[in-house]
Amino acid sequence: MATLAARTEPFRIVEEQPNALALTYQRLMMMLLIFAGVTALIVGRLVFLQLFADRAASASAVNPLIPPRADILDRNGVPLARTIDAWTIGIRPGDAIGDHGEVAARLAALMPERSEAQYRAMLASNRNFIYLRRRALPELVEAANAIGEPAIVFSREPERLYPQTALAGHVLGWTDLEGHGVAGMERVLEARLMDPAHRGEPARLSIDTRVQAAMEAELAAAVTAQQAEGGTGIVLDVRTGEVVAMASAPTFNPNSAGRADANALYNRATMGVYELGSVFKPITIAAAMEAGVVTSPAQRWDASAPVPIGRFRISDDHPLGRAITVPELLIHSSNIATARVADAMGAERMQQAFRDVGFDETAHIELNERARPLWPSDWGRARVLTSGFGHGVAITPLHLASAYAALVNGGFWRPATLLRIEDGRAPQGRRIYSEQTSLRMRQFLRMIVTHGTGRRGEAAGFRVGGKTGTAEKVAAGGGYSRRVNVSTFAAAFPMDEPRYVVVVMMDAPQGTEETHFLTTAAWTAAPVVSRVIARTGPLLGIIPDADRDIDTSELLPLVASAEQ
Amino acid sequence: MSARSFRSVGWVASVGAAALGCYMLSLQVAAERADLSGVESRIVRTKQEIRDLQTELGTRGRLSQLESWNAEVLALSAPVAGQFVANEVVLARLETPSGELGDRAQLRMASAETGETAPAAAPQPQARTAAVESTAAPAQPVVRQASLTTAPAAASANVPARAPVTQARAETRPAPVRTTTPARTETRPAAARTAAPVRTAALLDERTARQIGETARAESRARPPAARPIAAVRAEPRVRAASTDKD
Repeated sequence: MATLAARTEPFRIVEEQPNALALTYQRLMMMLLIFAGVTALIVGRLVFLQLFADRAASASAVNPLIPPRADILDRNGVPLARTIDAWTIGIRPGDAIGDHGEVAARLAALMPERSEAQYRAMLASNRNFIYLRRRALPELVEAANAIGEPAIVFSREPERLYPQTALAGHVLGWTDLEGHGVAGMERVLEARLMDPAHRGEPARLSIDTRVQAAMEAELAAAVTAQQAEGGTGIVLDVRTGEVVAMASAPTFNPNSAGRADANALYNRATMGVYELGSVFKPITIAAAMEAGVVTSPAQRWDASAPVPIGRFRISDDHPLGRAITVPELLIHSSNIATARVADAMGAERMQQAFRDVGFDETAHIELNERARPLWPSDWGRARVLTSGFGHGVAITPLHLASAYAALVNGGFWRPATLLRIEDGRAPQGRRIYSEQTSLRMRQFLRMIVTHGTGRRGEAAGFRVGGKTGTAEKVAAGGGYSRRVNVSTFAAAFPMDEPRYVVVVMMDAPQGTEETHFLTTAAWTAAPVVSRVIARTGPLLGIIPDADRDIDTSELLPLVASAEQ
Repeated sequence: MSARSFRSVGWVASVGAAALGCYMLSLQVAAERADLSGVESRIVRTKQEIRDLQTELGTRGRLSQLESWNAEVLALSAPVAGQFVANEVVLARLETPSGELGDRAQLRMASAETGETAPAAAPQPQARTAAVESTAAPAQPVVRQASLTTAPAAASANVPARAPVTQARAETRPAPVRTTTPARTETRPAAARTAAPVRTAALLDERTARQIGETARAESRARPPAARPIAAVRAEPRVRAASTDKD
């Protein structure tokens, strides 16, 4: 037995050894596979994290910074419109658990725009949700929260905020409760402001907030002092057509546009069409110079007697009773002489002159709130003669600003724009006057301010040139009213190298003691232009210099006789 | 046998350690990532807060508000043409020629100096006063033109800036300069070259600025512009000399 047993032992070992070895290898292989698998899993996870997690994280990090509607900035980057998360207070009547009377009383104390009874009715109503206040101040939210009524709910909703309040309200427009632009540039830029690809970068307007503020302040002061129906002021860059400021008084606050008066919402700069009067004379003279009708400044035009046309007579306020030179015509603003120039031009060329500066087309500006000029259909002799000094053709003040820009900038007419133009990207424009004519007009306009009706438009050191225009307003019953005027002063500065056109128009100003009870442009609109230029000139990069001016010495002898 | 079995254990251990290392690394990465996203969200929150505060500040400091404050309290008005100074010559015209010669001799031009030239120019103050005293009456306008600023502390460092002045003087009236300050003619060109570019850095010290302000105010009340053409004309050569030195 023992030997037998002894024999079998080595056999068993021989039998089992390969098995055990295979098993060991198998186990090792298993272990290897497991570890390799785990390692691969970890590596895979790392790769996954590297590839996918990073992008997802950064995307979620950037998103909150992109506003739901792009900001609007002025030309220097000052925000004019922003979207903020404003607190909204609402009420869910179904959740009310407190005493309705007490809650209503406390709500009425906090938000007195509704009565206690109204609040009680709200709490008792079976509506799901009622807004109590949108764009609530944090203090109010805190106080409302302190009432402790669970039915009062608070949330944050994106709201359009105009940080400068009423500033440039007519330019900016406003948005409805859903955040869509319904007026002004908010409406014009709707697609651009809501475009997800461009929402992150703000839109830039050509407005300069500082200039706009100065213009609005001076205009509002003048409108109040003169009890005018309204007024408007435009500052236009003559080299690019950018509107640096566009004000219309009375103003409104776009933050609460719904509560504004309809008269205040009316943008007089682009919607109001007026017969602007004598400010047309430089345009007539420039066209006559281009046409060869006015060949020299020394050419004399008869102003000795009124010009009869049909039942009417064209006469001057201050008759000179003699033949006058071209500078005298502008300095004394002679209707008779201008009518004679217009007569010499003829209907065709006068129409072309006004068409050149776009007086027959809707104002060239992005805004939807713009008007078509009243362009007469018949151009009889009476129409031709009166249009020469600005009657019979009604345009917006913006039309006038663009035309004056062309008069002084070397003769290029460009459409006005409210969008900022990068340096060197200004449109080429359309040449309508020769360089020579433009230079002459600059001299004339300067002389009107130094020697003529525009003296009150002068701002020391800024070399202002411009033309006054006092037109009679069409009375309600038809016909012109002598007492109710539209007084306009269209100016440009500095005249030796024009950069900006400033147009101010006062709608139906009343004479005050300060203006010696006169309502002419020289006393109403021109001082506003002077103050605006004095305040904003340095901001626009024009340093006043008393030692510089445009050379008008060759033309002065032509008016010297009238001076004495 | 034991070595072989230990080897396999070793393998297992090393693979395990590697796997653990990888896992730890993964954990570490995840933790870092979580931190990072935390920081990122804080940055976002802060940016939003900054935006909110900017909006609030902009709204509170809106121009119409500033305008009304100005109307009620400050009553500031826009600067007028006379308050803009086009260049140094016009600035120099604002100086009032008051007091006697001795007072004016203390007024010196202020300028930021490089300092290296100071030792070379050190003996010059005496030389200069000598020039002033010796050329009493005829030299007076020249001295006035050079005196823009009071800077007694920087007296020694100041001298190189005056080099252009002496140059101008040398051109117009060579004789007195050469006799009184012979040393200056040698040091002048180098000093002028180093001093010229920095001269605009500090044109005035506070006291002179105040003085000029007072003068300007006094002048704007009663304005006699004809009083100063001499100073302006005399000052011109100096400016020209300085500008030519720059290149």
